Amino acid sequence: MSGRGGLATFFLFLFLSITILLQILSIVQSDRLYERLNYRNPPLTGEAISSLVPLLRQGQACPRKSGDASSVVPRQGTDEGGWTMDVDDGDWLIWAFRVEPKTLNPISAETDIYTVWITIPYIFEPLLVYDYDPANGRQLKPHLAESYEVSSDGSEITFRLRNDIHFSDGTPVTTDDVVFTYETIVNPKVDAANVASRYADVLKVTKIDNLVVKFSLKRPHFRSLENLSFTRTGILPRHLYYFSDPDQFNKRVSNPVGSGPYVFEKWDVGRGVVLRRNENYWGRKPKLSKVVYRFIANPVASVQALRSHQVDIVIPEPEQFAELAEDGKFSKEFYCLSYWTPSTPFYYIGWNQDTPFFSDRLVRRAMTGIINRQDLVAHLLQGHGRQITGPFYFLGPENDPNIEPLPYDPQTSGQLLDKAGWRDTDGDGLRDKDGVPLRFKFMYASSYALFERLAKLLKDEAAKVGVEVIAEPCEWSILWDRLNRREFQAYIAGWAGDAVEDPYQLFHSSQIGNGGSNFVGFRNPDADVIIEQARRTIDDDARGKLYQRLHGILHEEQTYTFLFTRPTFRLVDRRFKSVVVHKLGLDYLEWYVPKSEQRYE
Amino acid sequence: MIPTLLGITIVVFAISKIAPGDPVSLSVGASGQMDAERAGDLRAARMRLYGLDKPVYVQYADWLGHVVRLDFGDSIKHRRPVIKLIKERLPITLTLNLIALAIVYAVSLPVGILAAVKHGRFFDRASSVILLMLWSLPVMWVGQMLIGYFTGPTPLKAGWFPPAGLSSNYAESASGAPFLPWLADRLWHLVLPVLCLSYTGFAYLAKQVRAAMLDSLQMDYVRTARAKGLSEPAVILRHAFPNSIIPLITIMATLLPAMFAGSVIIEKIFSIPGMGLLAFEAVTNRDYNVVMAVATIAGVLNLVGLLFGDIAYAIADPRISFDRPAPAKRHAEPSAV
Repeated sequence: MSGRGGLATFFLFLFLSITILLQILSIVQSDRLYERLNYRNPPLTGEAISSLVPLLRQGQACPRKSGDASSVVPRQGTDEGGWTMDVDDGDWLIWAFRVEPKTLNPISAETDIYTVWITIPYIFEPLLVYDYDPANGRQLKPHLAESYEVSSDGSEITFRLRNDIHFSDGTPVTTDDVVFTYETIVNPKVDAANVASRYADVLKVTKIDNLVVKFSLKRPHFRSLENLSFTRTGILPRHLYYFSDPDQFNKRVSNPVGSGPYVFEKWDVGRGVVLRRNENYWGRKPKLSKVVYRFIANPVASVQALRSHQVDIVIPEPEQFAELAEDGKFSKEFYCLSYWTPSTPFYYIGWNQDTPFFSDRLVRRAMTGIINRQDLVAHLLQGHGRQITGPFYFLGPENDPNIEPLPYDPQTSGQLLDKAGWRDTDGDGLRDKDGVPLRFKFMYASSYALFERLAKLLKDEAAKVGVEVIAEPCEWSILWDRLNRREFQAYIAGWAGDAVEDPYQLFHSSQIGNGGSNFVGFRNPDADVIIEQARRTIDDDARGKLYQRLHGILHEEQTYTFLFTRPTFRLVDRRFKSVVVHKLGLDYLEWYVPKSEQRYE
Repeated sequence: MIPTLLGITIVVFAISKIAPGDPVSLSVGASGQMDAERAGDLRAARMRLYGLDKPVYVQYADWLGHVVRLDFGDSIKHRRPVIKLIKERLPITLTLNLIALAIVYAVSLPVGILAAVKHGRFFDRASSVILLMLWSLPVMWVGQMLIGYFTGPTPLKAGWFPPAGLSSNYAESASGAPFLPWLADRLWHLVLPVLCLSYTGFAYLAKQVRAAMLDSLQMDYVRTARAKGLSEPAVILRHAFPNSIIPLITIMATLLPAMFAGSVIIEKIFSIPGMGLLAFEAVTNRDYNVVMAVATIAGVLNLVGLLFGDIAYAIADPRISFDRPAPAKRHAEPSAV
């Protein structure tokens, strides 16, 4: 080879060495992560925890990270309604959404949370809205309705509308619109079955006059008031949405018109949705003149867009948040908010109780015992999370705070497995019973890196007690399909939203199979009674007590291995003032930007 | 062509139906307050609504019956006609790919020619190693790196390029904005995605150009041209190069489909609302009509690309004709005669 060729060979050699070096580095890094995971931290003492609880109860930011709580600018010049007054008007708020909503029609949006985030209560308003700072739990307060009345047995609910409200085109909001909204939702030909399931208990709706409307229910349900306030869809104007052919309504995806503080301006498909302030709004007008939702699928790109001031608020990945919250320079320019709300999701491992392994409570308890949940939170979540023992919001009245999580204790787990009859009889290192080895498949959605790490961890820990775990990553839609068919042995996933609030769907024995969400096949007569009774209990405290009992049963049975819950993360440009973290989260209707810092228009 | 296309649609249809999961179960029961008793009826009703309750071959026949009338049906997720969704997105993907293709040729042709001319010398070896390195870098990783280092003010403090999308915020792109700034903004947004889409093509094409040129340069007519006393550039560009473009046409026909596939990844990384992103979302949502439409249209485009390739052969090489048996193999080098 000539001398010149030597140079090219050198390049090639260099390239190969770099590649090898990178490989080694990534191996080292994953080793380090793994070691950190296996290293046990001294547990938080009871004292330390109790000092955190008041902070959390105030709805303050995640306690472990400094700078969050203090970064929230105190409100200036607020009147008693909590609204900011005498501050500068103008400027835009630009959101980065990961996913484009499929429609801006809140009724046929079904399970699309992004539609709800864009339209409720900014374009469409409900009769009652959730108080952002309730005294306890969740509380509804009048909005389009000035008052409401629930009959003593809970089977009749009457709303009286305000007489000074109108849609953005000036037409007054009347009970005709309320009745129209209800009838549209329950119309079987309207593609809104998930939403309609909230109204299955309604017997009939009666318009008393233009301002008063009465709903009669088959039986009381604790969520009826919320559902009949249309908190999920708002009230649609009948004169604009009236249809003769339901298909026409199903296909109406854009041009939403409602009564809210913002009106729809345009939707550039694939790029963004623009809302403009409703100058004709019946209530107090917000300060920001436009709200834009941009669609950026890549989480790295959304944070970069925030940094280059192309967007103002980003929903980061938890890993991104953990890194950015530590970055002093970043947090000088952006609020790094992490906070808990009642709709916070929880993550768990579900054990199929119709398999020979997990039909036994002892085996389920043993499996929980080999998962070091405390370290998961400390290392895999970098502290941005919290270990849980049940499905309920840990600050809510439904959660029994006295339940201690089962300890991480592989030795006891081994003894439990022995007791359950799973012993290594054939000497192959694997426990077995009646000739069946204790080997199961563990499914998870492959798009979550966290779940993959968890699966590896579980595999290692299980091997130590003589159990073989076969990790089975798959696409989410496949996982969902297998869960619905109940063709699985164990899986990891999370639940959020409605399922957290009413455990009927998850834990009632009638919900096994047939499209119910009790995938694991949990059957417990006591739990069934409690769940049914709680559904009919309107009083929050009484229902809280019932759910605390359910929490105890779920914990005893280890139906799921409850892993952890995570706070909500937001990164917001600091030019916005009055950014307050309420008990229910952020409300941008109260935000404003001082004239000198305004960026648009 | 038609039987091929039919074959493509049958295969894609079959695969999408065999794949586990369906759009109905993905939407039913995912939210709460859904009882098992109701979910069963609901699922059946929804299946009927989308026509998914019929046997698969009937579904396919229905679909085919509509497609021949250019009706691709409605998207289950978007509730809009699929053809409209595609009309919005196809131009974006085409722009992206055509620009990338142009760049691939603009870079690879000179590099390939020069490498052939400087055969065995430094430029030849260095370019081949560098292009090979580029070729072996995974697009996903490069895309993330480009976003990480060349957008936003950190860590290289370079807000040089926008991290996502096809245009800046609405402030600049409002209707009535002057054309030039609008165009500049568009191009600025296209830099990184096009770069990502094109760099892997460099090596492939440059190697082909080099090989073809090496063959031509050894031909007798090149020696004759040199002997005539023509200048070296004239010999290379007028005599050697035109005789080596046949393989390049073949490559064009195969490069375009490959880029279309790569476009799925690029569009996802850079949040570009093109066909790739549409296809990706349709597949994860089991939005059958969209999957089928994208597959069909991509199939048509590829077949048209191949057809153009064939026609271009005939134009580029008078010896190739489709009327009578070709005197030489289609891919024959000039040396074969």
